[in-house]
Amino acid sequence: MSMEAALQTYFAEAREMLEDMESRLLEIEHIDAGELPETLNAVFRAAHTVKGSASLFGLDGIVDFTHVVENLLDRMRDGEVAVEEDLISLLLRCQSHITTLVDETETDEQISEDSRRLSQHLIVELGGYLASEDKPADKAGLPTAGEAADDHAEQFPADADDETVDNECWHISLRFGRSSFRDGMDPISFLRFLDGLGTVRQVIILDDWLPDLADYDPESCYLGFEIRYMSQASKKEIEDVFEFIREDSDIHIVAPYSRLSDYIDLINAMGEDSDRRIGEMLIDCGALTESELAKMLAMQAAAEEADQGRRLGEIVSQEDDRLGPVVDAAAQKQTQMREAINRKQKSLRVDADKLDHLINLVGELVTSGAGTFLQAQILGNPELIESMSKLNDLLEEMRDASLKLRMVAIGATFTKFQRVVRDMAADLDKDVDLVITGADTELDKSVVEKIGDPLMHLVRNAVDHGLEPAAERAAAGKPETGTISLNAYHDSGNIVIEVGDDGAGLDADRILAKAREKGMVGEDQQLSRSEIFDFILKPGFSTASQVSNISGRGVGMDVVRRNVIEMRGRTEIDSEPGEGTTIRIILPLTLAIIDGFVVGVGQAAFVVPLDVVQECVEFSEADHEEKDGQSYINLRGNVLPLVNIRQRFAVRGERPKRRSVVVVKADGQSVGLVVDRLMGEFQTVIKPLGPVFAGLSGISGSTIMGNGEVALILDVQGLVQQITRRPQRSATHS
Amino acid sequence: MLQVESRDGASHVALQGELTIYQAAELAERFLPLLRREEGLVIDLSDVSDMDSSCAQMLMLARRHCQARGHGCALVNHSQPVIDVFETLGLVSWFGDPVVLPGESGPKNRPGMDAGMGGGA
Repeated sequence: MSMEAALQTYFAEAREMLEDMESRLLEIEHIDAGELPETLNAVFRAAHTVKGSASLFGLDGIVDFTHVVENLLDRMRDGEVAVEEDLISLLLRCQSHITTLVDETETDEQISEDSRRLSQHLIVELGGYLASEDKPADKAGLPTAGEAADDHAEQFPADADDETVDNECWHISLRFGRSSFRDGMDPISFLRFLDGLGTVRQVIILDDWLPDLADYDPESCYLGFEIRYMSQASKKEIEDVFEFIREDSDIHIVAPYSRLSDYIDLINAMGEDSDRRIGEMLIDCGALTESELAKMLAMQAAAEEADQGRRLGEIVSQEDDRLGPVVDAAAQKQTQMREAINRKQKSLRVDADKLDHLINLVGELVTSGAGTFLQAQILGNPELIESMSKLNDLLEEMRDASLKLRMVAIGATFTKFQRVVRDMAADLDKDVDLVITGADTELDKSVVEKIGDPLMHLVRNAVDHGLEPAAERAAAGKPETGTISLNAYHDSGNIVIEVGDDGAGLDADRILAKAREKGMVGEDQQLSRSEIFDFILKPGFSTASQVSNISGRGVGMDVVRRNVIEMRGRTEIDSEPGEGTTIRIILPLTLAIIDGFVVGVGQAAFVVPLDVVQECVEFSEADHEEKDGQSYINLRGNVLPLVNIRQRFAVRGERPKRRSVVVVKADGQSVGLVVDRLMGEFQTVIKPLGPVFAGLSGISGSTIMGNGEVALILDVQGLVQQITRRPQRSATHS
Repeated sequence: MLQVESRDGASHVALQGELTIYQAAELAERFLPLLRREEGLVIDLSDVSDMDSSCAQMLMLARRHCQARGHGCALVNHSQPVIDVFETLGLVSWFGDPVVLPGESGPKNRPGMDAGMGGGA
């Protein structure tokens, strides 16, 4: 994996971690005290992983800031800092800020000046919590309770013989695993990271394992290091630096002011050629003095005599029960890592481009399969036809399966709104619960990406305008806490996403009055309730409704509608006075496939999206009238404007005697498309048009038919708009 | 990646560009055979734009190999990235070559005791 790819993976993972962190933080306010440690732990782990991995890539801006957050979380975990609402809010802001840092690093490869300032600002705020809790027992950043093993040895009564070493520095012995380079673990990164967490006083590089030229593999790591290290960090924090290489490498960390026996353990543990050698290194890098080493070696000899045959692990566990918690912690960590690995194996991270390519290929395969089937039928060989039809079935299945690969659960998108709702509720001084159902509902990744913004508008509006203030709610006999619901479910090839509130509901009369006032509807025109509600999504209406505040929805609702229509979806609104409003977005399951209705004009084939087709009628020259260059027919007493596809796209060829009109409806306006032939329904994979056709109006894409020919997909929306605009213009002229 | 010139009974090698684990295999292929020439080695690091531990390790191997055979192996003209890496890894003292530090800080390390170059073959 190249560095660049690894970095991309980091960004993706960091975002996942941050999302997890956010949802856990939001949980904290709702869970029992019993679950709190678990949740805090998860938040801490998320922050820690983001920081840890960032350090591997040398992303200092992220490391420095996240480190402070992590410190505070660590304190919270240990119960030294109490969990309170303001603190959670601060942590949420920090979480957002880390996300910004990650985003900026990805896009600009650096952190903006603004963010830098915000980092400092937030660190000061975080410092407030860290400092105020620091005073009772300032242990210079040392961990407490439960991690006693990490504490400085000076807090334990020293044995008469086993004196503590006069050394304020940590001693770290590192023996990198052979595969470290290949795993992307460069000792430089670790040493630089250590330097960030404290000060590396001295580094001695060891060449003892470097083989002769003949046995040397340039991609293997033969390096070892003895490091004298000054830091206020806890042992666990230092250990965590090496989390990623723990399995393959030998790492030993001796705390400042450790007892001599700890150094003996170190020497035993390193199990190297000569104790003397390590001893010398310890002196070299200033961990021990000569006399301390002499004393130590004597102790070791005595211990060896007494405990001959005992294995090292036993010595450690018997002699030093302080290590107990560390061993436990290590075991626990291992289990966690194994679980994480297991989870990872269940899902694969694949580049979206690769997936699109695969789907594209499968689409082609289906198409050429259909072509081959056609040839087989022409040949009339029954065996060939049979095996081709079997093949085609498999291809269809394969296409469905590959399209499912793009499906993702909408849950992650929904969860984001927890935060939005929480923040808005706080701003507006309302009590709001967000109820999420159907989070498992799957839909196309591209739909998920595009639905975020419209949903955001709807949720904001529901909180802001949909829900009444608490006092009003109480007066209406409703619970003071309002409920916003997000729901998603599948409905016959569509996905339905609902945003509901239990607020005051829409006032149909006032909306209608407003619409009349604005001239959007005639005085005597009768409209159904849903048609009336539809006005709140119309451009030009929303702004006005905001001002007069018709129980109303705010700015930007027309944007929602436009986005949804772009995704070939539609909206529905249900509202009961006093009971609330539900806005439903109905979208096709995927953007990559449509059910099309194929029509022929001359030699060309066009595809009309099936969901806009209302009916098909025969075209008769007799009923057809023309005015201002626009032709119409009378369809059961209604005027139906026509678009002659032959003229519109300048299709050449003989005009047949019989022609048909396909009645389509878009934007509430019905239009007839005049075509030569009706060729039936066809499920088709949409292919975008090349950039050459970017300026082409009336066409939204292309597809390949079973016989291998290209068919253009009509942009019905666009065609209808061209028609509806034209008569207005000619009307003003006449 | 590298340029070799043989003069004064020593191989003068100029390493260039990025020398990281991604280049390690290729570098080894081109650089390690020079060690079999049984002559002194002068390695110019002025054009090295990046180096990681794997390639630093290769220089260690070269130094040890030459020393064991009584040849010199001198590193000269360390570029700033090389100095940074050497300092981080504790290699400045391991190699003991004179390193010219830029700016006011002046030379930090005394000339090494065994960095003599060009010990004849």
